[in-house]
Amino acid sequence: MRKLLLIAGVVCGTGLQAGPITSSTALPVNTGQFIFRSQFQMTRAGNDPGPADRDLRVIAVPTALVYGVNERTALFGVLPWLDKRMELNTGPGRSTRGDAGLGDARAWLRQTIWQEDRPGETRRVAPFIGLKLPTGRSDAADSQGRLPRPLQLGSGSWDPFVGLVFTRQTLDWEFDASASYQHNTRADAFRFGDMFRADASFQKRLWPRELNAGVPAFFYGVLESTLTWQDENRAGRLRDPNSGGLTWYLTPGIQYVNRRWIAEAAIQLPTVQRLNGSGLEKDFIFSAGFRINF
Amino acid sequence: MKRIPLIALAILLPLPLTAADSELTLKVGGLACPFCVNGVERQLRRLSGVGGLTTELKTGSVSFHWQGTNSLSAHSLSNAVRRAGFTLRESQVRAQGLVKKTGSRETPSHLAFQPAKRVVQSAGPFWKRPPADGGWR
Repeated sequence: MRKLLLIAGVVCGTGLQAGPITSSTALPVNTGQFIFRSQFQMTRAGNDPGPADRDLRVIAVPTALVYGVNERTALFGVLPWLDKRMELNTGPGRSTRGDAGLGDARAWLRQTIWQEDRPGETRRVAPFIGLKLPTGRSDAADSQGRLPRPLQLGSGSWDPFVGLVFTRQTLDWEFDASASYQHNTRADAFRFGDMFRADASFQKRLWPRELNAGVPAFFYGVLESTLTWQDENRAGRLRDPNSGGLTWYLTPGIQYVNRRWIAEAAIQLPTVQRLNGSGLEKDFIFSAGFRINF
Repeated sequence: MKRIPLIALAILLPLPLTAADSELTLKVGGLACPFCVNGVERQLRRLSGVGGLTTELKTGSVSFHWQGTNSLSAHSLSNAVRRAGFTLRESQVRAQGLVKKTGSRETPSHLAFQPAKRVVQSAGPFWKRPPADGGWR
């Protein structure tokens, strides 16, 4: 349950151009152009050794929009819809707790600071800076009382984040690497632990094997790696020893790219989960979505 | 004015051009995926007189027709590609009709013109003809 905030990071840490499925890219956004992206994501976490036998399911539908301010600057915005449900054993028996609705929005600015273009190849470096806004409800309650903070749709806090992304794209493959840090602030005497995230993504063109005339659609095979670390949460001045930790995902995926839209699907498999205390480890995160430029 | 077909090859044409009907091919650096092509073509379509865009992703070349009633500068081409987030590496102009210098600067040395393979009407290579008004046509 304590890892739900990381899910929000996965939901919103998305690039919008052709590129990685679960992380960012430094590829350009045409000046004055919009790119729309929508995804369906399902997270399952179970296998709880404790007596509560928790079983978590989170469905997220993030909707993202990017605008090319100029050839080097792009403005991103993501607003997710979330449905969080947790089944667990309570005194009277098995019960379900959770909420559904809008989650916390994220907005960020990306600025390309280095770019080298060659025939059929580009390399770029772009830092980004942004803010997570408390648009999601953070005081939801059910018959058992107020929901635990990680089950709330929003954190209630304004959380800044910064990052850096490198992209090298050729006609045959693309590699993206990014790192970001999010400082979580206090809201209602509670503060989620700060988060660090490092991503690497490799996309290999599988079809067409040989490039012919015109602009053929590409079919990529994708392999991504995501390392997330989160500090312990704090309630008042007390640290929660059962929160935070390290998770490493490996993510195979597929991507179809043409000049107007992209369709993609991937599954994030937690390869290493070193969580503090007694945590609920994730089973998988499945993502499928599309992007379209207009 | 005699009409000749010309091919102008230049890294960046610094002067505005006018011609009755031209075909331009741009070599765009950094173009490496289908999704990126849309941005370049969109920016070029915004230029007046540009039509019939075709892109060869393998070579990174974007070709289009340009109606010569409108003036088209190399600067505007370079700008259009740059606004899409890419780099213009080379421009090729195939002009049928009149190519006119409208700037006041001297023709730069790197601006090399070659006669087309099939000459409709010609009184010899155009660069050997005396300039009518101090410029070249």
